[in-house]
Amino acid sequence: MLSDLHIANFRGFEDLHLENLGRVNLVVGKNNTGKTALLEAIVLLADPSQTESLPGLFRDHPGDVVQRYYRWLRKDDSDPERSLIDTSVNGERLVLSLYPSKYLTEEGMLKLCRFRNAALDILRAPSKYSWTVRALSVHNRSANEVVAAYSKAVSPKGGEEQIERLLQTVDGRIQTVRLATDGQGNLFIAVDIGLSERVPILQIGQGVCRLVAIFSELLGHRPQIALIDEVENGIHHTVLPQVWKGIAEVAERVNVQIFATTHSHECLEAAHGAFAERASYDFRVIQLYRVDQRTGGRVLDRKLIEAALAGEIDLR
Amino acid sequence: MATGRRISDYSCVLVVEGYSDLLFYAEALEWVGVADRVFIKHCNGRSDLDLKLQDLINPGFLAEKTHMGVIVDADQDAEVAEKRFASLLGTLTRKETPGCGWTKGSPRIGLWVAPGDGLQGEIESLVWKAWSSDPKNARPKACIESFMACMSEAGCSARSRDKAQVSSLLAIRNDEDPRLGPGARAGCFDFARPEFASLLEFLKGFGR
Repeated sequence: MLSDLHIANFRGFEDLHLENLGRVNLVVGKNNTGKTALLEAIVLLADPSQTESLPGLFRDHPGDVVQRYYRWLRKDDSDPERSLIDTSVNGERLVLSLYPSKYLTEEGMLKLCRFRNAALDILRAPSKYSWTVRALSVHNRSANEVVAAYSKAVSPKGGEEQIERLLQTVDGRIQTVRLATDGQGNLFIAVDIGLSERVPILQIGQGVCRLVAIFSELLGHRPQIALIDEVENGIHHTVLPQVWKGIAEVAERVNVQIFATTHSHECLEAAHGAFAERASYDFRVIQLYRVDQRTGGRVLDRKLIEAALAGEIDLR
Repeated sequence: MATGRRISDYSCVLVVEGYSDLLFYAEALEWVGVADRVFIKHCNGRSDLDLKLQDLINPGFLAEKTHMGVIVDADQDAEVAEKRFASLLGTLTRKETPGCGWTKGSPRIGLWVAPGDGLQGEIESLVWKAWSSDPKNARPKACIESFMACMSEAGCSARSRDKAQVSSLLAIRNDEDPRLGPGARAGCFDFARPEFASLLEFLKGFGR
């Protein structure tokens, strides 16, 4: 797990230090404070091999990725040598640096280069540490990807029942969730909600689809780090407590660290409630805020989260 | 959270301990003529107030404010309360916050410890002192003190004498809602009394 994160001159972050991260971290902040940028930074640092898939991972695909995406990763006008994302792992500092394209000589890059294009060179020193990272965004989830994740999630014995149990807390009509095949032999996920036949999941509702995607991703791919943008999207606030209980249980069971963003107070409250019931409270709120053109942030632990809720202080 | 008014819409914020305090200080702000520019944030009580202030105050929050004031009760020791919260505010705002009063610069950070003037107690202590010092209240004051003495002899002593005295007064003067804030709203207390001068001078800081 990442225990801390430092981001310098990346997107709107000038110098952000986040320490004491938890297993599940809920990122809050006003619009344009860098919630999505934080997720992007984590992808780059933890799994640089995903750099080429970064455009479109959390945002609508920009088309010309060089000029309309990678060019904007380094903070505008920042020192060429000071755009980096790093973390500490077992006493070592793991650093990923972003340089303007062609800033370093060929010798300077040597074996370190991970990714380069006309906008950027992204380098990380060789390290035994990397993490499998999966991202779930409201933007990028295709039906086939969900089916693939679901297939993996249900392949162990009891896998289908596990997902059904998680979904039943949200919609009591759900009896079974199974893979089915259409007339062209394409796989899709079908849900039995007590009608004369099973219903394709895309016809049930966005919230249930999103939950199937989230739980399938966690249980199927079992990443070490999962990033969920707008976690509450499509989910009614009244079922958020059950959803978060499910996320808390699965996160611990498959040993995944989660970073999720939200705009919802109910989501924050529900997440805190879910972890407060567990033997180990491994939940943090990462609060981002803007001061002029700079983004800052801090990590709030249980005491601060509880005090904020008790004092009706809006952390978003 | 208050319906309709949002903290983000105001450049001036006054943080108080509880809801009853909020209503009282709203009347005081009205008296000094700055109520329309100040959002009062109550913290549902003194419990964990340090943590609640940490939650509320971050650089992004401060960047949007011109004035941030905090009023706390002295309780047993005004000096301790003043030092504790001045130190906390200094850490959270990264401004030198020497004690009661307002800092210079932007945003201005203010601290006031009730009942004021370095005395122990709470806002009810100030209210009682102001009300009971008014010569026209001499007789009802005597009645209330007599009631308190009688209760004490009967084995019923109040945890907070000043709070009990004010509540007793309001039980008669504003029986529909005998709490401090509604009592202030009903005009039971005269903010022109000299005893309120320190508080009102502090609240005027929101207009400077």
